[in-house]
Amino acid sequence: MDVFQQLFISGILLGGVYALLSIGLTLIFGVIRVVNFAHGHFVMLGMYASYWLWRAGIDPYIGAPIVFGAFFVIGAGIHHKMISRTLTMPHLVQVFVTLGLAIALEAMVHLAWGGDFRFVQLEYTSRIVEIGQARVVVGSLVAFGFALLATAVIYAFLHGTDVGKAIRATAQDPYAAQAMGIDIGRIFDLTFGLGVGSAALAGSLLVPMFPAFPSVGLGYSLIAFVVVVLGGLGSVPGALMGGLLVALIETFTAFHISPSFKEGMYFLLFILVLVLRPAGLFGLRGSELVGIHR
Amino acid sequence: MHADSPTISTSADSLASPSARFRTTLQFLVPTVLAALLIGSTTQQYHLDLLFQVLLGALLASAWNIVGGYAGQIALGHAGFYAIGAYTSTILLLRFGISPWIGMLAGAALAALCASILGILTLRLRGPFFAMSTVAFAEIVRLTATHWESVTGGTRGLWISWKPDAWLMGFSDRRAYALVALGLLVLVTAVSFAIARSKLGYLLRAIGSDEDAARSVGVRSSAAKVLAFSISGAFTAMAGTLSAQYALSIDPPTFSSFEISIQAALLSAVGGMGTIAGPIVGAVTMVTTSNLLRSTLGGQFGALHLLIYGIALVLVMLFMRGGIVGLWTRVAKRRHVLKP
Repeated sequence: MDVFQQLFISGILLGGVYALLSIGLTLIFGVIRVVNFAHGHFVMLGMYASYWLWRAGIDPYIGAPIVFGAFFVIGAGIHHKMISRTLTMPHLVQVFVTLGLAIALEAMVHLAWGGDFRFVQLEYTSRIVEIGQARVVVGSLVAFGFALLATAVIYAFLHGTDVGKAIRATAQDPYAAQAMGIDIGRIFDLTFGLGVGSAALAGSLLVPMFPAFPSVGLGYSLIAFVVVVLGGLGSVPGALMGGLLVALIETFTAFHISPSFKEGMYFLLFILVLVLRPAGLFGLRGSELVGIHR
Repeated sequence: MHADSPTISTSADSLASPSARFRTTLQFLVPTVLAALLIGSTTQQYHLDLLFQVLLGALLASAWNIVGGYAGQIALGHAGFYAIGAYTSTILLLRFGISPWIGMLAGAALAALCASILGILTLRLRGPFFAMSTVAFAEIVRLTATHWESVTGGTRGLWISWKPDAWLMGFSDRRAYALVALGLLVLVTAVSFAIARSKLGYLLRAIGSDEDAARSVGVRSSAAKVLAFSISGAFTAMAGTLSAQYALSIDPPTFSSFEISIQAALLSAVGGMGTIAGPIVGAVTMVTTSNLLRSTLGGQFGALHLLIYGIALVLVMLFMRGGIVGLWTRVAKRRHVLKP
């Protein structure tokens, strides 16, 4: 029972971060209908940004909003200049453009800062606290709190503000939204900025626990793919459920079967979900038939 | 997507005339003979390595092109097939002493089997969803190679002890490896050419340009796609076997990393997807450029070639989707119009 509680709580904590990691991807897909293959690379950039801020004397958790703001602007700019050109083109172009962007970003980081692992060491994040019978690291607790907060803010923004409602309207039907006077070009820029910003934010929450290095992005992209496909691409609550589910599966597999099986397990699950219910567990049925309504 | 990407002239009447057939044969024969002569005249190890990498890149890209270029399916998991080829032949050789030539066929068969199972399961998914499922497939292969230590050697990998025996694919003149690569490239090019001319080729291009339209006129898109995917996977596995024999050692990072999947797609896209020459042109230009950069600038700028790969991919996708071959065809056509 002890072990179960311990695993369950660490799984849930990790799941919160996985959810935040994936919300940007699901948002961009839901609104713009583009699967961003550079998603994890923005997480990587967020980790580096947070690392350099820390080196300049700014605590990563205080730096996180700065990182979010900077990458919101960068993301909106990338969509405005680059991604928006591909929207009328085949999926292949969108996949390859974001993939090319990912390759180039990784190479730039490698050229600028080398391939070394970079750690942010904070005295208080490695402390251990007890929750019930489980022992957890403070860093993962803080990251979980931040992740839940950020998810709630994004959700409230989408449902409570006029801009958020415009984003959801655009997701539901871009033509109708346009007819109602919504500038969907700007909404797309905004959404991409939001997606990229939240990816970088996730990166800055991860860096006190995991090292930053140039090729770390792909792994985070893969986790985000698994999470959003499981939860349903385009669904923010789905990303939260998907994140928790993937993290729990990972934690329990690592303990009960073998640590070497944990990734393989969720990739198998991933293919299984794609095959059996491509819309995901919480996604709209038919959402996998992307581009049909465009 | 094939609106502006050219396909080689394969209409029935152009092949009917003996002169056209002669020209096609020449188009195959002349580059092959030139490449063979180039291999034969190589004396330095560095040049041979470069040639081998170009040929291997062309082989991978041509194999990818069958499913990615003609059928327009975004396959990003070819590293999985490559690893299956390398590991199958090497394990058969080390455990049972079976010739890598037979191992190569076994690897190709296994890759084709995996491709058809994966294809049947996932090829009904569209665009990015299919892409993600192929990435997951390659990751499963990579994880298997990494963690099934008793068979694959885990992260340390497997070592092949070299013997000068052609039956064991061990050549004392290393130029022979490049000749084998050239042979495989000729084979995959010939198969691509045959596919492009066949009914399958027309079906694949119909699927590639508009799958819904193709289905609505009765194209059984799934069967055609699965077949193309299997052929593509089989050739990729053969490249894996050859590469293992050339390197004499295999491990998960070099034989199953995502970079291999990207390379197969990228070389084909930059050269010109859905054309016979495109993947070869892409491999010659990109692999040569990246190798020259690496050797002139040295290790500290090792990532520079990746930067160029990434930027080239974005620019080609945004501004010249036909790739280098597409650009060339357009220029040639324009000249033709000016001087009738």
